[in-house]
Amino acid sequence: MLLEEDFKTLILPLYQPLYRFARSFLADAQESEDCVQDIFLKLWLKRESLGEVRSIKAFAMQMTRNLCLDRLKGRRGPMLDVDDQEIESDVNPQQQLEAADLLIHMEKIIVRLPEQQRTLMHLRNVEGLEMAEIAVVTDMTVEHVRVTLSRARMTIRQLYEKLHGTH
Amino acid sequence: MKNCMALTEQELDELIRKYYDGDTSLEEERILQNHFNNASGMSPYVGEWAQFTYFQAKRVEVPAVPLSHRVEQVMAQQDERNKSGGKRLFFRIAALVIFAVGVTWFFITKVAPHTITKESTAELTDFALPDGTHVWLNARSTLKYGSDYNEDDRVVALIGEAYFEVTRHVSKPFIVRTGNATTQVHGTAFNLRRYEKEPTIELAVVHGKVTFGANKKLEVSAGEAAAFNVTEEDVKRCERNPNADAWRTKKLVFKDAAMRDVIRDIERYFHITLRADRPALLDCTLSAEFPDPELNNVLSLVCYSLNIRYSRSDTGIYFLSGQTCQ
Repeated sequence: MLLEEDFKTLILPLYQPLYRFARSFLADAQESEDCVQDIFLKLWLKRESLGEVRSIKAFAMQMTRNLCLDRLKGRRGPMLDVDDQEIESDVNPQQQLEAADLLIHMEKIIVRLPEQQRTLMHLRNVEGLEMAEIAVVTDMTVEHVRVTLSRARMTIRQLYEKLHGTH
Repeated sequence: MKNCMALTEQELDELIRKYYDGDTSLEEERILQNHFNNASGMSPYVGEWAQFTYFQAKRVEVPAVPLSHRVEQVMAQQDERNKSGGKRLFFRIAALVIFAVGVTWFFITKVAPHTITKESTAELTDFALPDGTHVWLNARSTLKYGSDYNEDDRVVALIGEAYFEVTRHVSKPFIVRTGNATTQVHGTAFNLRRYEKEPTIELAVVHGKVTFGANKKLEVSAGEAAAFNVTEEDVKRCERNPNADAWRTKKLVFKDAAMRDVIRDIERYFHITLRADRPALLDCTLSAEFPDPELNNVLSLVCYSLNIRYSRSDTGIYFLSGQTCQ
C-alpha cells in the first residue's frame, strides 16, 4: 500500500527516466509525454499493490517498455527523428558542430539496432541501471543481458567506424 | 585535456576491453564516461568516444513541459471522489490564513481553523464534542473535525464506525461526511459504519430523524436503517440490524437470526474472519443473547446449539464445520 505522499516522493521523480526511456522508442516528444502520463496513471491506480513490488523503478520501466512496444506495433520506418536531438549547450561552436555530426551519426546507428539491444544500451548507458534491474525490466536473465549488451556495444563501434571512416 | 584522475593507457585499454565484454561495473563506466567527457575525439578511441558522448547527451533529455504537473493533475482528478480533506483542506486553510493577514490585524489574532483528529486503535473510545454531542468511536476508526466546529455548523468526517448522540440544535445542522455520502441531522442518535474495505456505508437510526446520501438523499427515521453503495453512489433503505451498535452496547442479540447474519455480526464485533464450510449452514437460525460477549464463549455456544464445531486456521481465520442444523 502506497500512500499519496509516498507516491509523490517515490514515483513522481521517475518522470525523467521514464520520459527518456519512452523517447528512445517513440519519435514524437508529445507522444512520449502522453505515454509517461499513462504510466503514472496506471501506477496511481495500482498504488495499493505497489508496496509489494520490490523495485518500483524497474517495474515502471518495464511498463513503459511494454506500452511503447504496443504503440509501435504495426508501424514501420525509423522511430526517432534525427533532427530533433538536443546537444549540450556548454561546448564551443566548433565542438558543437562536431558534436552535432556525432549525434546524427550515432542516432542512425542506434535506430538500426534491434529493439532489445537498443533498450539495453539505453538502460545501462543512459540510466545507469544495475544488470539485475535491467534483467527485470526486459525479462531476461542477467547473463543474457550481459552478452546482448556486449554485442550491442561492439556493433555500435563497428558501425560508427564504418560510417565515420576509421582514422 | 586529461581527466584529473588520469588513466594510464594500459588501464584505459583494460577498461574498454571489459566494457565491450559487458563486464564493467557502473563505477567503471562512470570512470570511462569522465574520461571521454574530457577527451576530444582522438583515435584510437573514436568509437568509444562517440558512444560515451552520445549517451551523455541522451542523459540530459527532459520533457518540454514539467510533466509532473500534468501527472499531479490527473492524480487529483482520479482522486476527487474520495478527497474531502488533504490538499484541498490545506488550500482552504492557506487561503484563510492569507485572508486574515491581508485584511486586518484583528483577523491575524484570530486562529485559522485547524483539524482535530480523534482516533481509536484496538479499543473503542468515547468523548464529547464541543456542543455536547456524545461520540462512541469503534475500534480502528477516526473522526475529524475543524476547530471551528459549532461556530456556524457542526461538520465531522468519519472513517470506520461511530455512534452519535447528537445534541439538538436547530440552527446548526450536525453533518457527518463519510466519503461521498453525508448524514445530516439536528438532534438524534444513530450508528454510522464506513470501513474502507466495505462496499457500503451503513446507517442505523436509534431515535430522531436523519438525512442520508449523496445526490440522492433519504430521510431515515428511528428504528430504520439505510445503506449507501459507495461505487454506485446510491442509497437504499434496508432492514435494521439489531446488532448495529453492539460494539458500543457490548451485547449481541440474535432472535431467529439467519446464520449468515450471525456470522457477519460476530465478525464485526470481534474484528475476525469467520467462515462456514457448508453453504447450508448459512440458512440455519439461531436465538441467543450474549451480554459482554467473549469470542470463544460465543463460538462454543453457537456450535453447541447447532451441533457443529469451530476451528482456527494458522492464518487466524475461524471456520465453522459439521453437519447442518437439520
